[in-house]
Amino acid sequence: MGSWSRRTVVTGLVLALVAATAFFAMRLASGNEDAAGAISTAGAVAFALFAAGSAFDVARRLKPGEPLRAQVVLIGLGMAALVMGDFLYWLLESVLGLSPYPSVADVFYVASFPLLGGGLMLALRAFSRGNKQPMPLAAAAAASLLATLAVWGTVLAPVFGDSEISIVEKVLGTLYPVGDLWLLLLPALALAIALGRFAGGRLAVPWVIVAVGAVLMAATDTAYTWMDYAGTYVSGSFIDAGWWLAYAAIGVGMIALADAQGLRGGRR
Amino acid sequence: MSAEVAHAAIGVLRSLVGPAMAVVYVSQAAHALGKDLESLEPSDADLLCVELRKIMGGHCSIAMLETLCDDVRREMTAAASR
Repeated sequence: MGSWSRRTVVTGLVLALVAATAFFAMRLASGNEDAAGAISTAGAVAFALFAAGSAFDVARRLKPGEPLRAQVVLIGLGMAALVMGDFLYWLLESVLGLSPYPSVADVFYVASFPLLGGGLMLALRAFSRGNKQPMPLAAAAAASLLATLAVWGTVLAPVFGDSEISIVEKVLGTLYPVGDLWLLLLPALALAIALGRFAGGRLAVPWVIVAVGAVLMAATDTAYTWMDYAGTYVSGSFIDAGWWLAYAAIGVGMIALADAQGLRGGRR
Repeated sequence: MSAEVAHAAIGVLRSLVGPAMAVVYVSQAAHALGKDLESLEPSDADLLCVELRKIMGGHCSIAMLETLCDDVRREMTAAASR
């Protein structure tokens, strides 16, 4: 199994099976938007909770003041913010019958960007020590810039030109793509590129998994932005599984981190 | 002293950070001591570990660094006695 611990592989397979089953159920319920939406939200909350719990479990096993702990705590707080956002969104929309956008849920969604991005940037800085190369950040910034231009041309420019959209929605509508592409995609891509030099070592594996999850999250969010603008998104759409898999990957990455660092008894 | 001692330290790091970065890390730690890989001796192990802790402290737990340094000291001493 090489650099991958048995626990990491088994957890990943179980979560993939759970996600596939839930996705099948969600698609079966696609004719009933309430049921499909409930499955979608429950899945997102469950996978984000798993990721936050896994991160806090790792943090608990590290000594206070360890640099690695700060990275893990930020990832955990970012995932916890997403749990709160999803929960409040569901509460407002499905229980209270209120409009969930814009709402207090957005505070938590937006807060998740600097938290997750901060954790990824700290990890990037740690792996860049003794590995000085400007390429990861430059290449990632180029990718983020291209994606930003694409989103601007297709969604943001028309939204800003629409006088019927409120200023709050315009600001929020900008914060989400900016957060996705500059606070999530950029550090995740840069980290993934930097970790290429650590191939064959087990310390890099957990962060590769986390970076893949963050890139998937940014991609899913961006796809949602496009679909929402085009009016083609409904709860239970295919892309909902993107969030599940992204959150699951971050959680599995945290489990892999605990194993790679020997933080559990009977490591690996 | 031959490069065997340095290779012993590199061997300890290889499974953690991969073969490429293991060489980079041990070279940088040795350089910080004013040495090159060929001139490393078992008596350098403690200071080498101090430098490795500085380089790897951001992505390695303290517990793992302690184990790593124990292994580095043991393997460097064993390599010198071979």
